[in-house]
Amino acid sequence: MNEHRLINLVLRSYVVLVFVFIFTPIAGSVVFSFNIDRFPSLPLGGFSLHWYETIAADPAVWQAFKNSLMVGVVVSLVSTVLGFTAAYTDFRYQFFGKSIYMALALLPPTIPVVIMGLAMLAFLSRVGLSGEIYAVMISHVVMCAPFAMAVIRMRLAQMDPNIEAAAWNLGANQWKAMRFVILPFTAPSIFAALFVTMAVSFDEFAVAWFVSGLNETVPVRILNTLQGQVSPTINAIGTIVFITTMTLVILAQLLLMRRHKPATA
Amino acid sequence: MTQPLVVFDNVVKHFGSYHAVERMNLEIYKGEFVAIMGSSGCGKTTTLRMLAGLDKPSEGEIRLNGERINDLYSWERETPLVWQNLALFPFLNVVENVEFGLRMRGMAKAERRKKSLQWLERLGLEEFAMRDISLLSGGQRQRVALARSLVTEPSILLLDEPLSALDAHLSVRMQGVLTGLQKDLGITFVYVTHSQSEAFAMADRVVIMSRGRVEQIGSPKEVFLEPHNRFVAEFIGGKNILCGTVIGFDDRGLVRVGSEHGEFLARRPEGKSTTPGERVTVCLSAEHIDLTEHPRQRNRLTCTVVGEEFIGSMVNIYLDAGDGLELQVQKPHADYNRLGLRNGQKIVAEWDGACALILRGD
Repeated sequence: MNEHRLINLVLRSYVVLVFVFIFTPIAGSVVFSFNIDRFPSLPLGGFSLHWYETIAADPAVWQAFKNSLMVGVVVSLVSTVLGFTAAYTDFRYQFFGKSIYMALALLPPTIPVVIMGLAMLAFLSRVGLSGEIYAVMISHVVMCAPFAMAVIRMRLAQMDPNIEAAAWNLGANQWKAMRFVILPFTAPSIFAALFVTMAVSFDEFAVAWFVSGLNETVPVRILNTLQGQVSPTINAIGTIVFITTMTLVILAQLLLMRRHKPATA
Repeated sequence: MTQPLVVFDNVVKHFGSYHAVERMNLEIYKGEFVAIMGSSGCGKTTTLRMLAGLDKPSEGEIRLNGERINDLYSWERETPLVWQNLALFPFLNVVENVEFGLRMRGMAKAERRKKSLQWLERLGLEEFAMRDISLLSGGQRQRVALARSLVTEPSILLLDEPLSALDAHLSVRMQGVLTGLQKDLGITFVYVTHSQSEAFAMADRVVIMSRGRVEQIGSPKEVFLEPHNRFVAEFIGGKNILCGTVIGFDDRGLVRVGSEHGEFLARRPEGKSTTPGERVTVCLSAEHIDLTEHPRQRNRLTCTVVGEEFIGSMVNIYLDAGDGLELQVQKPHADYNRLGLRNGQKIVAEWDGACALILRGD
């Protein structure tokens, strides 16, 4: 028993250390966003909402949030639809070259973002979309759809394939079976995919920086601020972005954890 | 005779190079309980799936009520299936599962709810109507699956090994529920199983399949008393198989068969002719063999006892008759105890020639 307790303690400490390692910089950023001092230093100078007031007064920041939100909504909707269709194709059909199809569908997140950004810029400027907000949307859909597919595919993998056939057998044509069986079953993962893809889009910097032109998204705005001056407003924006993203990801996780009902009857 | 409800006319199904069903010919009548039986991979489930519209025949024609249904989708025909794993919808509660078929047919909510509740009541599930599927026991889910398939009042119900997941006791009780329902509703049941006891207990007719082919169709009694070939005899179990050559006939009309174990008598099935010199396969039921030290019959073999096995009220005794022939004999406990057999003991196995049956096929 003593041995077990020791191992337990070591493992617990390890987990805590990992979290400390990951979250300390972010926590620092959050703390300094409420610090009155111009430069981050210890001890803290005093509590203030000054930096939040500053960004609230900055129309460029407002515009960036608006852009990010618009991009995020469109991207999450489009990439979830695409991700769902790809995942369902994988679940339902066997065909020649399926493994290649799946590999291609999952590929975009593995491409280095700088290369992706350059490629997107080259392509989108050729079709005359570079610098438009649509350019960011298109690029983000390419990058987010695989995440949506992965999330929905996990859920479909838990589904007894017979229940779709059972619906057909009970008089549901393929559309009705989709509407009354597949969609209800995968609903939690569809919502999770919406949140995850929105979070990914909201966070994405590199590709957006290449293709956004004047339509800055929030991460691009942060970098542009940083290039001009070292200002604690970055901490304030960063805190808002962090909270937004974490909220989305946690919502997605909660939805995915609700699948305790056994998948097969 | 009236028109059959279902006809399989030379139906073939292959998946790539694998032949799942070969030239299937089968007629199923209204109100009949037909069991399709065979070991796994014999094509019984494929047969059922073709009838349900889930697999499409490669060749031949399936007719329902005289109309070709090969090209109808599953949702275009009224052939509900009770799945082996039940395939209930996990995101719907009990009554929502049951009313699914009515909902797909566009029945108004109040009406379909009322009908579904009636079915749940009929199957003793009314108190579970609002319950989650995952909270039901195996037997209760079974009945939900039945209600879900029957709620649309089909003329035929397909069942794919529905009892295989239940324990023996529950399975026997569900057999009662199924036969009761089938009699009450007067609809056709097509029941696929690998279990001989289920098939024989419930079915009016059994279809025995092996490697995609129909080996025999008949009532359980016919199949049990007169298996057509060696496969069927071995499949239903409790049968001994002897091979030999026809030598001639005795004065009772029995066939004299010569074999490497000596000459013995056997009966011909009705309508089968035999000629001297012909190779025949003879089937002898385990319960028709007597064990004695004072033989009276002409058909006898001196054997060595090699083992026994208790099966409920009976005992299986295994005998070595020499030359690689092993005999299985079945006796009630009282007879077994009277014999007082020991392993290695010599004993004479004898039987009446009228009980040994020459098989129609190999």
